[in-house]
Amino acid sequence: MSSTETKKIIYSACALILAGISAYDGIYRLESFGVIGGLLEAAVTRGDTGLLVLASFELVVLDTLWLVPGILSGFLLIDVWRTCLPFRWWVNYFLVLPWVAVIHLVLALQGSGYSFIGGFIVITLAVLAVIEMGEARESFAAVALVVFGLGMAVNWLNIVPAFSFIPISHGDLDVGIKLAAGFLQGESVLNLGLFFSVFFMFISLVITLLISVYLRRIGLVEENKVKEMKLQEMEIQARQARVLQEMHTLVHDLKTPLMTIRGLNSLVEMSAANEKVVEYCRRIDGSVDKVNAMVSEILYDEVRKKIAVEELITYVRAHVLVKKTGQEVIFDIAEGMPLLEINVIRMSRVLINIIENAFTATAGVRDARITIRVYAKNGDTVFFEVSDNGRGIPAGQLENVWNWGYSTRGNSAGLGLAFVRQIVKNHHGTVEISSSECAGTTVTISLKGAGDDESTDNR
Amino acid sequence: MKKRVIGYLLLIIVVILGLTSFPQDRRVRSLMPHLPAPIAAEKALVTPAGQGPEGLIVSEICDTLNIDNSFMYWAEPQDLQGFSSLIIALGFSKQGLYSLHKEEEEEIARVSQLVQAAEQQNIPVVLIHLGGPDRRGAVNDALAEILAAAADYIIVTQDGERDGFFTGLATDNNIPVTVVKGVTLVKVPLNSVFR
Repeated sequence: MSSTETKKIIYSACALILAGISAYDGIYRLESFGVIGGLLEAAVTRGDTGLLVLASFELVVLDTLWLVPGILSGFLLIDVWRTCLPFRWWVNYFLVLPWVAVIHLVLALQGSGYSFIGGFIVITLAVLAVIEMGEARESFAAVALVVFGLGMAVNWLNIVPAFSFIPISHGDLDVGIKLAAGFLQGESVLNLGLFFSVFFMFISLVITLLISVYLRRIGLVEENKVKEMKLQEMEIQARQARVLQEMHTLVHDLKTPLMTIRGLNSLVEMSAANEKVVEYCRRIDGSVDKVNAMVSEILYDEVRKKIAVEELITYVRAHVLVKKTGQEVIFDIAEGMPLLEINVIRMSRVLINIIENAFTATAGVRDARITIRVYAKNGDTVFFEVSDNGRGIPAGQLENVWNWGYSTRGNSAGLGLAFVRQIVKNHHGTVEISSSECAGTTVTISLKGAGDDESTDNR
Repeated sequence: MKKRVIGYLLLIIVVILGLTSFPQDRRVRSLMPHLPAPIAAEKALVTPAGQGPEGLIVSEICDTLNIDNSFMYWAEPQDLQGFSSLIIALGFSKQGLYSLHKEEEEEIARVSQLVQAAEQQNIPVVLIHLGGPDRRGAVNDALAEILAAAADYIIVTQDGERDGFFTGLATDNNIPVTVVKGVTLVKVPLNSVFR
């Protein structure tokens, strides 16, 4: 059973328990007689209208505690089963009316004789309030608070003798209190209950509006935040696209002088009489070929070349060690690793990027050490592990380091690790990062090895 | 938003109109403001029929009129000893019965036996109904019919007499009836029972 189904069953059971509380005539009304009836007796025998007001207050609270669970059970059931209901969302809430009518029918069968009109008014007002509350209706506590306030407002009207012509409830105790008020000539005191009614109605209205306005505002703030983030993301992507475009143009422009070098070099080779000059010319031609291949790799991500891991590391080491700033750098390269079929330039940039990050993280750290381990597992997967004993990354920021534009350093554009992940992903590899603050960071890249075929694909 | 506000206002107007359209009090003219001559003597036993708080209220009214009385929630035939009159305040309350741990049938039986005993002992019985329309209906009316058969006088507030039920009972049983406007006005006809 899925967690949603379990939740549905639990919520439905809770709703039925709440409905049961309202549907059982005995819980509040009959057992409350001892307390309220005692107050009523004391009020009549002592001629004290103050005790009548106290009895009225207790009765209103108990009547509300009896009425509200049934209404809340309706809201709870609708919230749980609304996906199965064919009506529009706001129409669903009006189904609380027939649901509470069923509860009152059960009450009538028990011979309670209470009027449904008070409950009907509370439900109608509660449904309108819940519809007006917007997203806040998801909060059961907020709905319960509003329904309780409305219940108190309407139940106070039961006690007000001036409203006796409305058959709101007219239960035993309401009638008893009003009779006693008539005897004590305290009807004007009980008529003040109208102010309590208006007060609770006002409170419910204010709560509804406040919750509604507050949640709408929160919604707008969140919406703006999302829009801002999207805008920022688009700006970064646009900047990145511009940089790439510039780079492409620049690299593409390299091909023209290369072609000139090759052309002139072949002229020199043809006209050269000296064997050594011819040899030099051939070497120049070979180098032009290599540069051409590199340009192609830079320009086209999908260009792949089979390369030995050692060769890749040599290329990376040549670029990285130039920038060495005092840290101890250890290369631990295993032997007999499979060939890799990669875009050499881009994958080199990936490794250089990670190693440069390690240099930055260890700058100024005592006994700083950067270890680059390369090893194979399961015969065909090559792992590049770059670890340092630098400052590390706080746990809360680890998830964000892959995002475009995110950087823990103020002077960085925050594109490095995002680029790393993108390139590794394009090579069907994985990249992981683990770090602890003040202890260091380890970045591990895994790439599938190519077969033993040494052919090179320079598309 | 504006449409919704208009909708709410319309709803409120409909609710107010609906509520105010409930039947208002119909004036019932009392043919007999009080008894022309006393029909009972003190000391009176006051008890409710239906266990509503009306019994206690009637007892308090008797006290204010200096009518010697005792109030008993559950008066039985043997309790009539030493009393010269019986005042029964009609008002069925389920909660009142529950507080005494009694059933509806037990109450009907008690009231029947009590009025029969009063009749046998020639003790005048006064039936008072204060509760208005909320104290009418099946059990109240059944109790009223039992009581009216043995009663010597009926006092009823006009709210409970909109349908002429008590005057009808009085006519059927050939007993005087007084209809009063409110609870406090019960004093005049009740006083006339004894003085």
